[in-house]
Amino acid sequence: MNARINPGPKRTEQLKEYQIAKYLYYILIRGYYIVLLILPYSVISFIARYILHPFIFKKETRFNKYLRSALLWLGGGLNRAVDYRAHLPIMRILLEYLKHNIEPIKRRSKPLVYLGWCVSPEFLRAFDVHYIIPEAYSVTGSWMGQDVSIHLLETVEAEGGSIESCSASKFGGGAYFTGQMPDPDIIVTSSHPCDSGVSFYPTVENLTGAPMFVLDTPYDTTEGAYRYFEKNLRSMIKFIEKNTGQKMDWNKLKASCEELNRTNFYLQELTAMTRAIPSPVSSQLLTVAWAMKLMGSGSPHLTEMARRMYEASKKRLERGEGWVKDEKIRVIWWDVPIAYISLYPWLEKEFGAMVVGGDLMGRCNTPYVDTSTEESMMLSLAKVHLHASMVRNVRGTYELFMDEFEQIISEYSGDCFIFVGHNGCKHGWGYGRIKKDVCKRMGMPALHMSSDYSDCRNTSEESLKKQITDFFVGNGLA
Amino acid sequence: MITAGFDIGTRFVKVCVAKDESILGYAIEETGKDMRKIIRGAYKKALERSGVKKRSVERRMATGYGASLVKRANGTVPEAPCVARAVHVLDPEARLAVDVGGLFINVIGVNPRGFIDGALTNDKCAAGSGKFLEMVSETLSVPFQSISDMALKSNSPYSINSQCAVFAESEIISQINAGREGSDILAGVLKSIVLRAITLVERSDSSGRVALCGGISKLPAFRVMFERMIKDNTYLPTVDPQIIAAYGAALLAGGRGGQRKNGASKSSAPDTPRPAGQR
Repeated sequence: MNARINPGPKRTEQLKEYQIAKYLYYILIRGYYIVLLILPYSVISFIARYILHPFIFKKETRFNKYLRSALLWLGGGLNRAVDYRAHLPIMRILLEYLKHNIEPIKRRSKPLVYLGWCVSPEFLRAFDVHYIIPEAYSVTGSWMGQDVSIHLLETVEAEGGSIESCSASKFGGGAYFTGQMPDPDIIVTSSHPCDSGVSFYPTVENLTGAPMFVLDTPYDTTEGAYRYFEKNLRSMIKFIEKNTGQKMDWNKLKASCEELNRTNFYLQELTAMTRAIPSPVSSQLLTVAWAMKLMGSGSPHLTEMARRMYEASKKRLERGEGWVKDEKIRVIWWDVPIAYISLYPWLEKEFGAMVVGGDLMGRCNTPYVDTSTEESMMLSLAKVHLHASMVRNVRGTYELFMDEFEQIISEYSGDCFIFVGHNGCKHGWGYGRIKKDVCKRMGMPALHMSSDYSDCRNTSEESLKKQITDFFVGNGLA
Repeated sequence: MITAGFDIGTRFVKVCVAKDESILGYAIEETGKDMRKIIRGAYKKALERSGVKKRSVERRMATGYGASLVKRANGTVPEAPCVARAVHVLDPEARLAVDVGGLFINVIGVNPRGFIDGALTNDKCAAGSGKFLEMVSETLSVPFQSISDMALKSNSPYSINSQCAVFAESEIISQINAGREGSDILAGVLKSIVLRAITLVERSDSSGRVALCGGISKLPAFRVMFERMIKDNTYLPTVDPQIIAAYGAALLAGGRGGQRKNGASKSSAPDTPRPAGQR
């Protein structure tokens, strides 16, 4: 069944079939060599930053829309030469991920899996399959400019998608309806992070007729819950084996898990380094790391990226040097502002404000995968899933969340707390009052903004900047 | 640092010049057609009273309804954080500020650090505002300066039933025609404003010493009625209550960037980095 549609009157830029993946794939392949040649050298990097700067900081226009968001995400015009060294593996991760999207278009030699963003891709690396993460279009879609993002969202809403849903799921739906993704052979997803995902994937199942497996995420975080989830993972493996006609290669899974351990070591060190005053790690790096982990978890390129980020940051830490010259405000931040990624460099430039802690996406806090036996590996992977960002934060009793939140506030020496306020995140809003009370008890000013982290229609960038400015000035932070 | 705070309200323009936490001088001017000219005039007057040259003012912050009209301001900020800051500097024990102005009633929580801790406002209707009181005084042909004295003489304040300023005015005209005493009507109007403020105070999370600010709190009758109805300790700030927001804007203009809490020192490395898999 093919439910692809022509999304009615032209209100935003129309997209051609597979345009996003093709654009990113072919531009990045060419950009890859340029990055390889110039950016790690400080003089050329300085000139490149100087030239790119005005394109990035001013608002998005028709002239910079294909550059601004992607460059901001990749630190273009902002990073130092030494930090650009991490960008070569970033390009490789992106290319590797985009190949999964491009190759099935050319020749369908392997089964294609739609993978929910809260399911770790390590398992799929142990099969000979392609995978696409529909929610990743919230990141890659935004790299083509705001009108493309709006087009994807409006397409899915025109098809009956709920306006209150999480926009990340809506991006997946928009990418499907506008023909950005080939039809899947199977779908693997989880019952987390939220009801938006739970309702999105059955819709795709219904439209494509592809068999679907949903990991049932338990409510609590006990040994019993880990065991339950481990059984779920084993059922998932059986499901993939049955529907792809392949056997899972346990050695490949082990290799992926070992790679994941190495990656997590560096990312956790980076996360820990943000506790230093001044922080030597930019929130931009952690955000990029989160996005790359989403697409390339278990890849050696991801480890290489994390290692390069870690080494550059560690040198700064040893010299007692911060990411910004004069760090004035330390911000605990909740939710990654995908559509408003310019907020991070703006905070750093305008206020000397560093985002040092926070969660729902960027902070790495992943258990070690014990690869000594098959059983221990599966149990560890169950823990990895249940401790992943979003799954960890929006599940179980409120004490789970509270303890971690208080720990973050005290460990990272935050001066204030900012919650971006993702529109579709019922969980996030559900514990809004708890967060406010914790902040009040701990004497920390808190700002709850109303926006949507990947839907730029919700609130303008200027409005968010005004709210943050008022908050800083009103609380004597700036 | 010498700073200037501008509070561009709906009825008055207030400008305050401060050096660190001390007020050097201030000016209050009624709003009019040419707002920019009025703001310039008020600023000039405040500078003259402060004995400060324009170029000595290092930073300017604007607040209030017409904050964007202030040229060369370093920034604009909502009124509530300004009031909270000023109230705290004047009395560190204050935990709540009730700001009754020309068009709005703001109830602002003040945290022990001296900054805003939540705010509530009645911005939906003019019936609880100074402008409404002005309308009534004009209808009754009573000079605004005499309102308080007249209201204090009333033995049976009239309870206004209408929630909307327009309907309330019609109701007042009906009462005048029915022979009701002007003092009872004025006392009733003041009581309705007090009740609106009290409702907001009750909804507020904060409690403790209450500072009364804004032009209306200068009326003794308003203060008497408010104090009668509230259990918390109420007081009037030591400076003109009408310039509290402007003073707060001047204080916030000074900023506090770079100051750290908990005595955290710069360049302090984190504890031993944790190995993978450990929180």
